[in-house]
Amino acid sequence: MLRRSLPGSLRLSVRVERRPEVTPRSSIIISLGMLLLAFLASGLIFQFLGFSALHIYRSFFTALLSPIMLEEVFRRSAPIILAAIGLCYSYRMGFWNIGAEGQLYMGMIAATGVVVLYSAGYGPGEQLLLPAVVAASMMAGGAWGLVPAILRVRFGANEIITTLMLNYTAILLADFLVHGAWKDPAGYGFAQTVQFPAAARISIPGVPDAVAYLALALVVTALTFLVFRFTVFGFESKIVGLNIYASRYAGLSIRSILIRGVFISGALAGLAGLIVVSGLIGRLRPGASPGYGYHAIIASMLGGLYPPAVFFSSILFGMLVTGGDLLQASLQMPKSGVEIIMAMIFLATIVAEFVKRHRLTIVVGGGGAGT
Amino acid sequence: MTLESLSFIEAILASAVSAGTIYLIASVGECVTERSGVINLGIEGIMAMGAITSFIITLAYGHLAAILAAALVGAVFGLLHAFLSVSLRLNQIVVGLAITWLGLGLSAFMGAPEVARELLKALNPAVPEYLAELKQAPRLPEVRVEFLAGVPILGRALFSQNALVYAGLASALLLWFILFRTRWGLSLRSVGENPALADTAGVNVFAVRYLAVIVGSALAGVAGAYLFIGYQPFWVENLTRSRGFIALSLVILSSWSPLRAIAASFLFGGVESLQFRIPLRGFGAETPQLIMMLPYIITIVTLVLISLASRGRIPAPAALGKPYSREE
Repeated sequence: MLRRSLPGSLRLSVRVERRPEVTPRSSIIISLGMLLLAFLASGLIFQFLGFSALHIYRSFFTALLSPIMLEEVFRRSAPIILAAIGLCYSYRMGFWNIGAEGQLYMGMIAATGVVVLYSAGYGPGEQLLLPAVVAASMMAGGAWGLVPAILRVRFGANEIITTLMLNYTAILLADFLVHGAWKDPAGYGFAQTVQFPAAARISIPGVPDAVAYLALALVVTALTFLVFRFTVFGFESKIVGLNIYASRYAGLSIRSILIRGVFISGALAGLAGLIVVSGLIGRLRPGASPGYGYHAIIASMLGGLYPPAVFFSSILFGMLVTGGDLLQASLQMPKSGVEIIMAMIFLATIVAEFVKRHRLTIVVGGGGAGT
Repeated sequence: MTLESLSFIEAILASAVSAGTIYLIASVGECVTERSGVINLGIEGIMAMGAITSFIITLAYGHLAAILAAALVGAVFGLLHAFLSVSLRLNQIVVGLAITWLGLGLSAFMGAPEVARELLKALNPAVPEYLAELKQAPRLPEVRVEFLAGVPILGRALFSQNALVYAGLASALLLWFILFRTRWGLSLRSVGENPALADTAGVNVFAVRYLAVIVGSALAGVAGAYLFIGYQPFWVENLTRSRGFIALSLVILSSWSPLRAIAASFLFGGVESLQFRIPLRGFGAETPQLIMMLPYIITIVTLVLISLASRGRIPAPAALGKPYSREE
């Protein structure tokens, strides 16, 4: 038990005790409460910087709940869900993969490469185009994830730094290609590639794109839930994350589990990249992703690495990204305002972990209680 | 050696020191923080906050106030980090990432013309508003050390720079001395190696860690201020471009010694300045992206080389990243 007292004439003491177990219900209530606090805190910052927080939030949510914007929210949530579900594989093993953004970019690059070849008359036929771009994006994203995984198990290189460095490398590679070899000659000089043909796009006939993407994301979420709960790999990966020494003792091959898990992470980020490049914007261009791979980091943590919860927390981030563009268009407020909200949600998420593990009691005037 | 190639080498060294100072100030601060057992992944965001603070405050009140304000903003972010990671004992990695996020988001927001203009107006109404929209501030003036600056090869690199370069070098020497030659430093390092033992010996583990995180963060704020007013006085969103994270890996490269951080930082400063010199000589003039990848790739290669050189036994402070609690 820990006792702390706040200085001042009024004797206030805060008692912090460890809480043994937290029920799922109170866990959700704490998370939602902290989420609300995050919005409040960001509102205070906006107010301090000269914007009306009430006005921002009101127009933000009324606009987002209109049918057209809702469709946009779902479209943009899909890559975040896929990348965030992917990150769950890394994080449950204790592998700090900050590289979903780079893995997503590699997925975009590989898929675009297939399409560039196809429109130059090489490569797969029309029927095979979709399987080819799916495979290419997932393999490329996975391979980009393998690099830091191998560097970690082979050389002990800190994966936080290596994945971050690889993010920039992938973004610059995409920039290099769209400014150079892959630039669309019929693109009026814009730095962008040719458009993705219909055959290279994920779609379900007669259904809006948003629903098709969301369905794909839902399938991946459900599969991941099953993998985590019912497969040997799901069990092993959790053990690796819990205690690396115990699992070595149990004779598990940590290296191989780690490498497989991170590959899946990267592959799902790559698939997210395919959705961005084939569906959301239709071609590769600089700044194609506004940071979906980074949003996925917070979304997966906010969802507590529990796939169904991650699905919904990712949709919250889809709302924020879409809302960011609205801020710019309708309120003349910089888009980066939503980054502040996201950072506050991130902070609230980690403080929620503390609140869940501890019980706080504030004793007023408890003479001598706190020293 | 011809006179022309000599002056080329001098120019390269001077820009290596100039760019390297960004890394030097940040990594020296992080050396102190990590020696106390806390890893601060927030320095990337704190540097961004230091940069935006120095932009607005330079326009409002001048350079000296800007540097002090950047240090103060850094210290406030450090206080937040210390509260979450030392007092609440939350995971240092996640806390650091969240702080980086907050710093990057807040700095981007404050740097947007419509916000920067209002901030400037509120701080000093006498300054014309359009200055904030130009996104530029006057650069720190060069302070030439008259006699020494004329020394061939190294003179220009070390004695014809702005005041923050000298301050960065001085802080590296000073903090090395404090860490390794004083009782304070011994206490700080003991907290990073074995906090329970230090606690028994009467060292206030919590106070030491708070101080180390705050000092490191204040220096990260100054590094950001240097990045802007001392190196590239034109504001763009994402000005830091992962330099804070590169500084973190330089701490490993310099094996947690501020003295070795000088060499490591200037080495990376050299890589960074090559980025701008190679395109001038023809290669990559149209598409500089491949050359811009260099610092990131070299950082990864460096991490691997360190591991090979130390055979997997990197001399990190033993308690690095572990929260301390008296109960356990």
